[in-house]
Amino acid sequence: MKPNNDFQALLDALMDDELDAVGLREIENAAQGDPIRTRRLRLARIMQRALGEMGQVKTPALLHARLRSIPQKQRLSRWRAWGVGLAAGLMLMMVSGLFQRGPSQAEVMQTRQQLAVAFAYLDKTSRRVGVDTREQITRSMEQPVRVGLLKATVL
Amino acid sequence: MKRLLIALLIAVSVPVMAQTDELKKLPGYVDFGSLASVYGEPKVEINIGPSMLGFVGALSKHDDPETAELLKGLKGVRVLVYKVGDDPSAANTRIDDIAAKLKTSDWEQIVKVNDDGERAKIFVKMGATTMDGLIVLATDDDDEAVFVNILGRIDPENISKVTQAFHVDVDSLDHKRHKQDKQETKGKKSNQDEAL
Repeated sequence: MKPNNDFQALLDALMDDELDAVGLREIENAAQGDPIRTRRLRLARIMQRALGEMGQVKTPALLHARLRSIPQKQRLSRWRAWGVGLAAGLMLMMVSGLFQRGPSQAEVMQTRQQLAVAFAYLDKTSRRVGVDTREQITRSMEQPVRVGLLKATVL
Repeated sequence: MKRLLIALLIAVSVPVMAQTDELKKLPGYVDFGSLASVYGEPKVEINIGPSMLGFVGALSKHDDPETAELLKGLKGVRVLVYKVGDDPSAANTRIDDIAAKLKTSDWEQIVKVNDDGERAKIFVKMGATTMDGLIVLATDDDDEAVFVNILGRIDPENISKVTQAFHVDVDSLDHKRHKQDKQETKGKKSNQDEAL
């Protein structure tokens, strides 16, 4: 009886349309008498049909040759690549959907409270040092305007 | 599967990091560093970026127009407050370091106080036509070191109105905490006396 790894490799090849007649006979023999393998083979055939119906674009011969040169173990078979890609796409959509929704009511309230605390500290510090920070800031803001006006007058 | 999980974690953390990175790019941003190694975790830590400020400002327009007006020119609000206990020396050194750096750049010192355990320095940065930022650095006899960085334009007339509207009294919060600490200390002491 073929070991499970070999059977899986045959299944992957079947779904990638890379199994010849010999390989087909081999996989049918390996599944015979084993209900689990028979079921897996049936599912793989359904997947193969579904992928076939989606249509394919033929890869250029040179690219195909380069892909084939990758050792068998390192190749991600097409149907697994589809599955992983679909899962990743769905997750990305979920995540981007989550962050595009804007803040919740609770988050807005929390931010308002944080702002209140921030400005309270600003106010407290000003009162503590006995300086009217408002006046100081206003003076600083006026200065560029005054300088600008002076330049305009001189010109 | 592992790679997918890592990619998802990165995708989630990018927006959070992006807000902090967004603040760092603004001209009014100043890095306070961290005093956690000296005083432990800060008592207050606030970092609000431009996007959240925009949301809050837009939502406040109808029910709280003063807050909306105050938030109009703001691009960021950052606050760090540490409990320094009886030893504000590390905080004072940090304040002096930051002040020295600010003086060599475009920041203008508008307030300097060094009096009876209270130290404060306030800086303003003016852009070509408007205000870019405000920095407040202070230690006081409430045993706190306060670092405030307001990015963008702030209308000082509106600050008090907004704080009154929110009814936040930082002093009373401190008083409640101090009372709680005292009671806990009393409880511990009486337990020790009983044990003796």
